[in-house]
Amino acid sequence: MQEQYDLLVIGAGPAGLSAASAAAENGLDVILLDEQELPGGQIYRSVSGRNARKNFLSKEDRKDGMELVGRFNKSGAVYLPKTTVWDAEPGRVLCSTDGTAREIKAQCIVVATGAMERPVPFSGWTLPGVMSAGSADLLYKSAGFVPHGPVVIAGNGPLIPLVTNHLVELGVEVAGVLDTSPIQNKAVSMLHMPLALVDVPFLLKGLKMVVNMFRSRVKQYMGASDIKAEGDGQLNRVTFTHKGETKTIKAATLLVHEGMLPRTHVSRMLKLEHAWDKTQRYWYAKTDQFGRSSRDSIYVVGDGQKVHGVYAAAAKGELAGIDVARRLHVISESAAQRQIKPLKKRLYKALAPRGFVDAFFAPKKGLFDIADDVLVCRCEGVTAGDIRQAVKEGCHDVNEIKLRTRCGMGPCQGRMCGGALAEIAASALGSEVPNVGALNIRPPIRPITVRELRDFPEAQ
Amino acid sequence: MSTNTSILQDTVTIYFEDEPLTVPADISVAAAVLGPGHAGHTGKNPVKGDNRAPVCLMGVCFECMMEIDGVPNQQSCLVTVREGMKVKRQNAMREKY
Repeated sequence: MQEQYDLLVIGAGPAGLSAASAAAENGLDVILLDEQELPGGQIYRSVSGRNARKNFLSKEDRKDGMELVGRFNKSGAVYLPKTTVWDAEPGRVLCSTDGTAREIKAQCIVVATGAMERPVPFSGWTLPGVMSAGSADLLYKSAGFVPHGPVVIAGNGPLIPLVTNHLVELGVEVAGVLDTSPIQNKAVSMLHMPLALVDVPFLLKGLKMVVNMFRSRVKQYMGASDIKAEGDGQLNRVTFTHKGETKTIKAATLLVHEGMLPRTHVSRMLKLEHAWDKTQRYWYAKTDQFGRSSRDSIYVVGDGQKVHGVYAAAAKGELAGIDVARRLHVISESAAQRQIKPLKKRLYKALAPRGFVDAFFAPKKGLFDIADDVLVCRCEGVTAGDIRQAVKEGCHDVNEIKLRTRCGMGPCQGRMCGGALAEIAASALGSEVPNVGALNIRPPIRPITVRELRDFPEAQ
Repeated sequence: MSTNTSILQDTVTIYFEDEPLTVPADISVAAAVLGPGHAGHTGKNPVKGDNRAPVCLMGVCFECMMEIDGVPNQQSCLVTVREGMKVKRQNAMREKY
């Protein structure tokens, strides 16, 4: 098999599929690597699977997803599923498929690793039965299963109304929605409304979701706080404070959601320049409009760069694919411009409502004011108190705290605790997150076996 | 490049903790044990020893790690079920140094 390509794309979501399709259609040799068995990313997970007709509750989403996958399948790009990238540098990627390691060379790399839900530690969040809200959606799309009821849904973010409505539609008992969003978000977001009006259908879609949630008569607790998951080795109930009262709801599943952030392990391993988004409180790789990062030949696109939603992700991916074709001289500047122009229009429209959405679902102040006894690092069992103690003892950078406490040293390599670690440390120092740094991300960014290392050509 | 050998079959039987479990073909091991398997937990945290179960189902949280066909530390949300597959909870504690 040829292991030298013009372009290697990491991630088969809307951005990655679009980048790979555009580049391959323009004549480049393209390979696309993805962890899943089927293309589509998380939003279109298993969209080409045999049960997608039943498992996609939105026909429109299924159609959009099938279009992206269909175009990719016809593009001539090579698809390498079930493949995990664990090292990368300009010009090459090391990855494993079913436990077998390989090196793939490429002139350009497009990183399209998508978004994840913001992990926010709280008391009892490690109990079986506590899951992210998005996982309920993925469980249904990929397997046709619903979480065990009664279900309680808690947090602040776009997936709360979406998942609530889906579960109600599927006949799952939703015992309550604990809305933790701060009231001022609604006011601040209105400042962004004028630009958002560029895309009225998008706003109406969101409004419809919220109206449907109210119509479903699921009990909603606005301004809920102090949420705790309780049970003996398994979730049994959720307690919280609402209007000054402590309440308890019996639950088999608690779905939590505090917004979305880019998955940056690959872009940070590549040592790309990142910036801090103050509203949404996350790090993102700095790029220009074509997804070009701070390092030559590396692109970052889609929600893995900045969470702008599926339509923006597809447009950004496509722009990157065209730009790679242009820089490798398989298309002329004028041909590139012809393709770029309509995409820029599409991107402008997709980005217009984002200021509003970001402000509306902004993480609340004090989201990480977590009690000392709450586990932050799930893998290594490090508490918020341990982190604050390390700060007291003189650790002023997250990497120092990591060495002192093991926070971020477990199998997930800081994916679940890295953000909270920085927020807690910054707050303990009376400082801001950018001043306490970000965890160093070094290869291998996935646990691999010694055999996988041995099989890698340079080691032989 | 991916060959799907289960295309002719709607279900497969796996063994979860030695008990047969028939589940739809092409779903992840994590989905199989969470759904029809009613697993509750999929393993114990090796540091604290408490029960854990999948959180994200998309390869981020590493809480779904199980022993699959004798190989430990497999992210069960990224592994597709296969006929006869042996799946076990991962309960090993880390040795103290």
